[in-house]
Amino acid sequence: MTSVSLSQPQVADDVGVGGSSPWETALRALARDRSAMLGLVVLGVIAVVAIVTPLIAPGDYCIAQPDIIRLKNIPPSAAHPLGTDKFSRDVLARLICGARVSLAIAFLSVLVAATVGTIYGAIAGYVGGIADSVLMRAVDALLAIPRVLLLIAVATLWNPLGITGLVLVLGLTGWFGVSRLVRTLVASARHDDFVAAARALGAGDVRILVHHILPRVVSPVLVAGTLGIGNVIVIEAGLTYLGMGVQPPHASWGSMFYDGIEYFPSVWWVCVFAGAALVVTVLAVNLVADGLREALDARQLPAR
Amino acid sequence: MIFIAASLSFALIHLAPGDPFSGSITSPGLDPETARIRRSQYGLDRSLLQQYVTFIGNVVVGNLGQSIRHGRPVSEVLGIALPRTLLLMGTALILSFAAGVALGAWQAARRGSRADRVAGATSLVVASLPEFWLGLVLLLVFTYKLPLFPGGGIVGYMHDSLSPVGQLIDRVRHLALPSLTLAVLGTATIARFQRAALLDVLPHDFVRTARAKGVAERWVVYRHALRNALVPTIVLAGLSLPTLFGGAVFVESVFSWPGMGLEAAAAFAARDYPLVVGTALLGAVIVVIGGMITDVLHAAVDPRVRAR
Amino acid sequence: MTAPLTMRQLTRSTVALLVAATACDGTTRTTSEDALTGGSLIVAVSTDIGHIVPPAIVQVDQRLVADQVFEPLAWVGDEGRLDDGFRPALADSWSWEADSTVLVFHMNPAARWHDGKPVRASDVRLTFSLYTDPAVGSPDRQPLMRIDSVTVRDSLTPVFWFGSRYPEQLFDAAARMLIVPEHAVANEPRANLPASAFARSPIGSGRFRVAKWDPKTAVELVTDTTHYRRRANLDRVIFAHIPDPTAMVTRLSAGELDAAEILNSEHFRTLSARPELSSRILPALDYTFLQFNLRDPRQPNRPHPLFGDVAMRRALTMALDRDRLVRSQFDSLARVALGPMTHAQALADTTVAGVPFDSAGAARTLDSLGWKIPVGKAIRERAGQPLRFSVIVPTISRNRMSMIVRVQEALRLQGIELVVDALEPNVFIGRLVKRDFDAAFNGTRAEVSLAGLQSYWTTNGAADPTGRNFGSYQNPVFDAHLDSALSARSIAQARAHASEAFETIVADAPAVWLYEMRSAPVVHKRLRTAHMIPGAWWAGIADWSIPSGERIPRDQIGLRVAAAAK
Repeated sequence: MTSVSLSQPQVADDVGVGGSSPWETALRALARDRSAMLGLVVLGVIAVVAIVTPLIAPGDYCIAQPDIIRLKNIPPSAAHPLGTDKFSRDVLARLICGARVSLAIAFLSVLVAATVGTIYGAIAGYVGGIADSVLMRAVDALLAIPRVLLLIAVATLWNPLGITGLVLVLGLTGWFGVSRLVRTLVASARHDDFVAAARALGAGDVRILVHHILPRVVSPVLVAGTLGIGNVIVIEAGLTYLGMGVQPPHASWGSMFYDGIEYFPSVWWVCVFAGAALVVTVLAVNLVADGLREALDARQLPAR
Repeated sequence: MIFIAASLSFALIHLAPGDPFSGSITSPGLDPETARIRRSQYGLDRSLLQQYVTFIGNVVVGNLGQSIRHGRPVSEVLGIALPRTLLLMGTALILSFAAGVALGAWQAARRGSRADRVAGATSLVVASLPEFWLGLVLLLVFTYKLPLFPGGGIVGYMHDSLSPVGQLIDRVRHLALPSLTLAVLGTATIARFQRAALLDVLPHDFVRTARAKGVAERWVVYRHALRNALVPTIVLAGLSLPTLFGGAVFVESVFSWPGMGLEAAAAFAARDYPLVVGTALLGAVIVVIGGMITDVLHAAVDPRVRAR
Repeated sequence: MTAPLTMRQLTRSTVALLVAATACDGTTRTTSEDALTGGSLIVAVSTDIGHIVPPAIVQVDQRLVADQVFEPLAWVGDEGRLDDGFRPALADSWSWEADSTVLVFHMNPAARWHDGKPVRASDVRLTFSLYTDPAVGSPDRQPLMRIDSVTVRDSLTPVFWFGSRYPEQLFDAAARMLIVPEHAVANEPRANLPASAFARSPIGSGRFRVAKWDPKTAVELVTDTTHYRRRANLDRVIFAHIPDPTAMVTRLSAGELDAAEILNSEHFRTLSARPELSSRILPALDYTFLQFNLRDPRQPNRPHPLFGDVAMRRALTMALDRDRLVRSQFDSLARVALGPMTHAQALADTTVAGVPFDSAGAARTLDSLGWKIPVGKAIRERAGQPLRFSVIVPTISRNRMSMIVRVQEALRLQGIELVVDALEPNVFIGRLVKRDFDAAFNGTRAEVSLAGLQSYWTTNGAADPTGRNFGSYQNPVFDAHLDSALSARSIAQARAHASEAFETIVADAPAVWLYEMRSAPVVHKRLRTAHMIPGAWWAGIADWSIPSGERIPRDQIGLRVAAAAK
């Protein structure tokens, strides 16, 4: 048994290679994961294209309708590799324009939801007792309210919504599930041996939470969160039906779906390519998340 | 808790702009005399506080009020729509839970192998698909291109003229595509989740003990690790109960499945206050029930919780 | 434990079993007696019908069903005239008295309700009382107020008393109301007819009865074999609720549905190309317009800073190539609206010279009003303020949501910035009613007569907060012309006055008249459809038939099974 000092208890998963922190170890493991790197590259490409294109393209490339009689609904061809939509706008251009909006909304709102939910759930699960009950009952009540209702009500008080508003609204209405998940995991983990050991060695609550319990929670939350990203883009399309989505003429993948579904399936390219953009993005995010999770899990395998 | 949810819903829907008595967009505005009568009929000409008190009083007695759109009791409207949604979502949930857990465990037992990677990639792609898109694709393929399944509804229009066996088959055929749409997505999601949860559990001591005893890897996964790893999945299933109740609006719309999803969506749009609040109330009840079931299952699977 | 594989195998074999089993589902088949009679028709409707109690009907889809189950005193004739050419329904004939202020109907003594009781004049009197009762809330209430009362001279002779003469008297009295039975409706609560027992099992006099009502799914009508006139040819008509347009198109193509009205040009093109479907385009009554608020929404007693000026409104109209916009969106499913009227209206003047498309003229006008494009910018400005306004649009109307994007881009090229404010339908209407908008993408289903125009465009309609003149357009000249048209002594005179009214309002441009929808019903070819009435393609369903050689299995189910199933 290794000797320990009272001020710095050491448990197996605190020791990393060469003394570096467990997070750094995880990142290094991630870098070696080829599919995760692929995901990162894809995301990077999308991000770069989204940011750079407005700088080099003509000012109205997102919204111009060149010829609404002759150039509308053209299938993919040489001049328009992804076709044109019913307003004669080039689908590829719209996808790039929409990328900025959709990615921002999706990532940021899921980040908000995951953060708020994790903190809330961790506190509830760790503290336990009456506080736990109260906190979770509140979440249950909020969960019971249909999300649509919350969205409408919030959007009402806050009109017009704007991108920031949309992000916050989506994030603040999506954290309930995460919090319950985290709470359950934390509550379970509370009874684990090494937590008891750490406490016996004098580790404070916060340290236990952050160093021992949260890493366990990261994986499921990561999986849940990445699923949430695809979800949000789809919800975004639904918001257009409520009048809360991105207003014309601005593009988002969700609003492209809404536009494209009108003439589906004979005009299939708008929906298919908007959907493909969504799927590719979610795939990339999931690859990165999977890689991250495996890297974190590898760290958890006891060295003994 | 139900009380809080109901009150919150009441507040929220009344907060939202728009009036249930607006006419239609091709005939905007209702005859003022009619609107006045309707408003007093539904008690909407009284102050919000008075309405709230009446509402609480009614709820306690079990009266959910009358739907403005339908003119019928809310309980009747919900009573018709809810079983339909439960049938659809219940079927989908059972199918996806069973298939998802099985697939996730199967993958975990073979983690790192080619089969695992292929299955993982496939469920990744499938899980990213939007549900109404998948529904439309299934509709196009299996109704339009290959006339194997009907395109919607709960039963065929000629249902009454079929024999009892024919009626049963008719119901199953109509249930197939919509529940399959949801089940496919659910399976992919749960499989990924379950696999991740299993992989979290596998490094633990008791698993290592089983391995050390010489138990085959597959048995390690299925019998020892699975019980623990089921916990997060059960939580996930419990979490999906509100969605279960709310119904999948898109799938219901595409397949003309007249359940809670369509009903609730239409109620919001029409600002049908009693129906909206009734829906929220029912949802709260279901969430509570779901929470209880989840806790029971959790205790059944995790002995440490039981020991407390 | 090899659970997953077993699960998959099980699923696969189950699917195979189901597919095989449905090939023989054991329908009982009874052949129809008469070669012409028999057959089924499944019509898709996009809204949930709810009920078909005639005085409480508010949606077009409800009329599709109600017109089969109930009858008026007389139907509008094939020529669509409002004063003549009516076809007898519950009434055999009618006559005028007292200088055309009294209209006497002579009812068909053989007319029976579905429960066997005879149709009486007292039924007509009760129906009128329901239609005009504000508690019931019929949209026909306002036009029917021009009828003073309905009395009963004897059991087969209802008498209509008018306050004054006007051209559409016969239409209002004979064709507006679907007659309901007094003995079944008299005791129902008027404020809640949709929930009454009568609503759950309606009793009408039409050639179809309600056989089965599955809420939100479908209404099934069967032919009344003992109808007092000739029975309808078809055995059953089912109105199915299909909310999703793509699903509707798919199922129409798959043969699960027989008929639907198509609102989407791409769907229409695809369906028209199918050999087993026949499509046609008829005039219809819906039209839309981009309505300007002539008052400042923030200070209602002052004119709108932009739209208070007729020159600005005309310039905006001139800036839009409406023909191109409408063609781009609709192909042939809609045409450019002429004004607050449609081609299907008997009194419409289709020769009105509208404000022409003239982008150069628009630019000149805007320049002269002080709106010029600053160097390096795209939007016109005047005294540092950009030429920008917002338009509220209801999200539920796909067509309007698409059209406004086209309009937005067209105006942007002219240096005008249009901001789209998409709203849920109830919120949209709320803003309209409160006059809280700059511009609104409004629409209406035109009245067959001109009565609706009063509420929408006259000075009274503006002053009255419950009127529909949401943009507060006030022109006494227009009021006078419209008044003359509504109180004219003959249809020809009415048309002449209406023409002058239309010229006035179109020149004033209180709205940009955008498009007038056309009705595009698509019907399976095996159904021989009678002449379709513009604005009501479904009205003649009772005369449709299916030649016995072209019937499909579901046509041959026959009536006995339906009766047994009840």
